[in-house]
Amino acid sequence: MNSIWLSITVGLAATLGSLPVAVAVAWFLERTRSGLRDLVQTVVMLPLVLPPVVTGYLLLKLFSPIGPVGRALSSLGTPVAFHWMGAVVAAGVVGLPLFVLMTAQAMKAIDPRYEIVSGSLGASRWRTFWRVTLPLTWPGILSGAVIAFARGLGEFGATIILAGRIPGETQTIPLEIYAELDAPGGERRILGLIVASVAIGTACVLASRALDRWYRRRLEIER
Amino acid sequence: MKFEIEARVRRATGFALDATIACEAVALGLVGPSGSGKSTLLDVVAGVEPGGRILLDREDVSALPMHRRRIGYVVQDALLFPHLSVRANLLYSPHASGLGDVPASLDIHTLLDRMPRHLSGGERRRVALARAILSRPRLLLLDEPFAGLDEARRREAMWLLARLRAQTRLPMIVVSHVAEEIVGLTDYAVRLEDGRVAASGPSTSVLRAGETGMDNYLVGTVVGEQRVRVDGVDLAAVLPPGASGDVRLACYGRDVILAREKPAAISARNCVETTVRSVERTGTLAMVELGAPKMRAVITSQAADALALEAGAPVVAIIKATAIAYLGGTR
Amino acid sequence: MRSAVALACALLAACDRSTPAPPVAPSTPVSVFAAASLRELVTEIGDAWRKKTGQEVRIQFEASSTLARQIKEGAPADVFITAAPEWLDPVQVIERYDWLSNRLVCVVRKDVRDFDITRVDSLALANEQVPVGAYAKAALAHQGIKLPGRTIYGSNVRDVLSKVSQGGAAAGIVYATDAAVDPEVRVAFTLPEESHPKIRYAVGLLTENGRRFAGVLREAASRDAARRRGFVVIP
Repeated sequence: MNSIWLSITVGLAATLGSLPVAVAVAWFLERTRSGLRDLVQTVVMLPLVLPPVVTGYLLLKLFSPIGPVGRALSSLGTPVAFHWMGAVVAAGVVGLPLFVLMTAQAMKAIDPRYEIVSGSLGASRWRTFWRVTLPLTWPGILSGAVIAFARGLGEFGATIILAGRIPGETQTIPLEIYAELDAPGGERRILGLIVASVAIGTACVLASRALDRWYRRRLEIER
Repeated sequence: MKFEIEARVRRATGFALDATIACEAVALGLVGPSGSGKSTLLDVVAGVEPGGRILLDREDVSALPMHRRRIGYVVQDALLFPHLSVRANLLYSPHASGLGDVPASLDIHTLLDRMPRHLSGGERRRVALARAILSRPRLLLLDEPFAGLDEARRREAMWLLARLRAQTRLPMIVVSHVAEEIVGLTDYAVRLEDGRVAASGPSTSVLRAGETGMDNYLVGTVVGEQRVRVDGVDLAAVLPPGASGDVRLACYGRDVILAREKPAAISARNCVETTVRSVERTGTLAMVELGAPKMRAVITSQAADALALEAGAPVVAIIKATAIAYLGGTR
Repeated sequence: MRSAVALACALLAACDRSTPAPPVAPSTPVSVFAAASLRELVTEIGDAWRKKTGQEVRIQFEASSTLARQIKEGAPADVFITAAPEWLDPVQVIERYDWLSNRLVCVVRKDVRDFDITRVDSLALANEQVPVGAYAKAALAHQGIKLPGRTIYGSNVRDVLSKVSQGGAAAGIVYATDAAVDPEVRVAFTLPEESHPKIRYAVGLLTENGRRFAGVLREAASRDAARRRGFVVIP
């Protein structure tokens, strides 16, 4: 049962951590005319198309505790590989493409002329973002967050490679299920986990759809 | 406000805007058919579209980002922020300091706590206009302010804008594809065609020229500053700068006043002593054909009787210079 | 062009004469499931077998517990070599015999100087049901060594090895033969034999197709290879 609680906290941390990244990337893709947009979009979409173990492997190479980055992070007190943070990073990275896609979609639905009008009234881009773009898109962002949470929660390949299976620290639901598959009598023990997985996943999909509906109503304007 | 605008925009679709405007006016009118580049020009002035050099009262705003130009932009669709109430919309600008009497003057003071989705189209436009005014801009851009309005509301809107102009002296650029609408509202007008300036000058000469259905079409020769010789008679007319040689003019018969004697101290620049060639009565109106210049005056039958007009009678034709439209050169 | 082909044929014919002609190769490959720690040894034996008989050998290396489950669920295996005899019990074997033994060691990264197992902050072990994981648990308990705060579990012994090698854990319990395979680690100490159940690699014959290969494992050449790699050969 510990792994259920761990999965939820890892998922929440991953989603909260990737929220500003997803919003910033989506804003960059939808609201600027930079030539770097194609490159950024390709990189951000990679975790969606790469096999998760490859994503995990690349992350491990980056955060390896014997490499420069890993060692620096360790000395700062925030080690990533083979630690709780690694589970969070793995979940966050695999959920990011979906998060960005759905947030970008929400921004796309907002008439960009609202932001032009805001600018003409004297609001800087930053102010426009906080007072117009964000209020109009946040239900869509939330919807993306819910899906990113569900995706991160279910991640196995990247998590096991970057964080390993450490009970109480990185052993999320999928990792525990996998370990128990081989153990004698394990299948009985994981029944509860399987039910929990399905329940959480279903709840997330329903929540995302409800948010989508609310979001559409918010934007309603008679033309 | 002194306008010095050089706009150059190239679109991937092949459309190109290349317009230069230099004038001094309180209200500048921008007319032309759809697709001629009027909205693009507004975008350049506002800073939405890069690609121009804009000097307003000698100040170069081209280098300023949009939010620092202090140029209010009222678009056709109003675009009120849907998640904010009317009051919040009005006070949105960081430069806004209280509502003052602006809501009352635009008749929206009863709507302050409503949400945009509960307003009618006309109410939304007025709120959008108020919102722009409250941001204390140095210049107001109005894109098709009368589009989609029926007769009654259009008159109302014109009256509002005219009063706005009179009361606040806020410089504005008004865009419309219907020239007649903004003749009275603007001092100077620019006509765009295919992304280029086709004509520019005082509104009455540039805009009236688009009107159809005038009774008098004249050809004359420019003989001086704002003076044209038509049928041997010198007339004062409002001409665009640089007009010369043979020109085509027009005016309405109903804009010609007839008198028995030359009036003194009158503003009309043209008081021409001429003779009546013929009088034709049609019910309440009388068409009076004049000698030189060869034109028609349309007055009431009652007036014709009062003045005892008949063929051969001497008469003074009084025509305001602003009533004469410049249609272009003869080429 | 034709002269090049002729030359190639001549060369091939010449090569052909230098090796003894193989007997008629059995067309079915033999499928071997083997414990992860046997990777290098069984691959070497398999390569020799292919050269000698022409028969393809397909080997899968994984934790014995994982392989047993897969076989139970229908994975096709002709020969099953486990790191603990009890893992042959759940599957249907025609014949079985005990084959090799090993030693249990604690490994650390090669640059670690003074190592004290009682003060280590992270330890890598295989999952409990994996033979080496069970051996390790028994050995640590027997030696009175408490598990440190962070225990990171690997799915098989090579997984454990890589955790230590890549810095995921300060130390790990693997077989002596595994320590020899990875140059990044060194043996910190060896667990005494009496601290854990006897390590026994057992060979199970599951189908007739695997009989010949299962037989060759017992031959002298194979035992020599095992000895060379550090395995303990059971007489």
